[in-house]
Amino acid sequence: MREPAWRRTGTMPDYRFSLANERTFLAWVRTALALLAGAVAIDQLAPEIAPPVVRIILCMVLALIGAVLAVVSYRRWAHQEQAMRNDEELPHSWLMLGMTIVVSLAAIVFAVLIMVRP
Amino acid sequence: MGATHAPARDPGLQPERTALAWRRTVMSAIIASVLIWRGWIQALAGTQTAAESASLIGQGSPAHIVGLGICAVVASVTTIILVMCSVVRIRLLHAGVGVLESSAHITVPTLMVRTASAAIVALALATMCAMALGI
Repeated sequence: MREPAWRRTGTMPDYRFSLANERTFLAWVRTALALLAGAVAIDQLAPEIAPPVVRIILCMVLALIGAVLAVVSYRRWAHQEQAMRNDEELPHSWLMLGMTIVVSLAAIVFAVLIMVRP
Repeated sequence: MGATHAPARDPGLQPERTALAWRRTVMSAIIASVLIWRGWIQALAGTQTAAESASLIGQGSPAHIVGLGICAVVASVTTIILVMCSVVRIRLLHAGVGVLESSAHITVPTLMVRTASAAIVALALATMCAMALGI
């Protein structure tokens, strides 16, 4: 299969940088998978953690963030590769800050739910 | 000059580390899809979950069981796609170790990254449907 046009511009980066970029992509993909597994696990294994509607909404939000993260991690991989090919500065991304906030919020919400559980 | 020319080897073991990263990713996907299967099997067995469910469809009804079954099958298909990506990728990485001087042989094909990303999105949709059906 033909590579997209942007992958034939500039010079091919050192294979070590390409592989590092690929591993970063995979690490974000695993984060997305962890969110999905976490959402189903809470839904199935801790059904009394919150009233059903609240529980479903929280788990849906986690799974939705997982889906978005899978798309964002692809875009991030492509942008990093483009920057490396064209010898530009690596693009700044809010992904790390965003995911830090998401994970912290999830931890606080579930900690509160566990504490107030009757 | 008796020393034989050792084959080029990356002292940082980058290809090997990348292969391991793919394996870890596949394992995470298997865990996520097994949990969806668990929900379907429980519905098939007619086990009532401990808490009252926020299910949109009555628990144990045929629509509920068929819906969860579709989610489980979709989850398995996405996992199989990821396994296939990983098998092909690891093979490419191992083949590329011998020809490290040409980066073209060892970099990931764009199609593979796109496929992996799309598979996770599909898995996420299956997860959300399964939760909406009320595992």
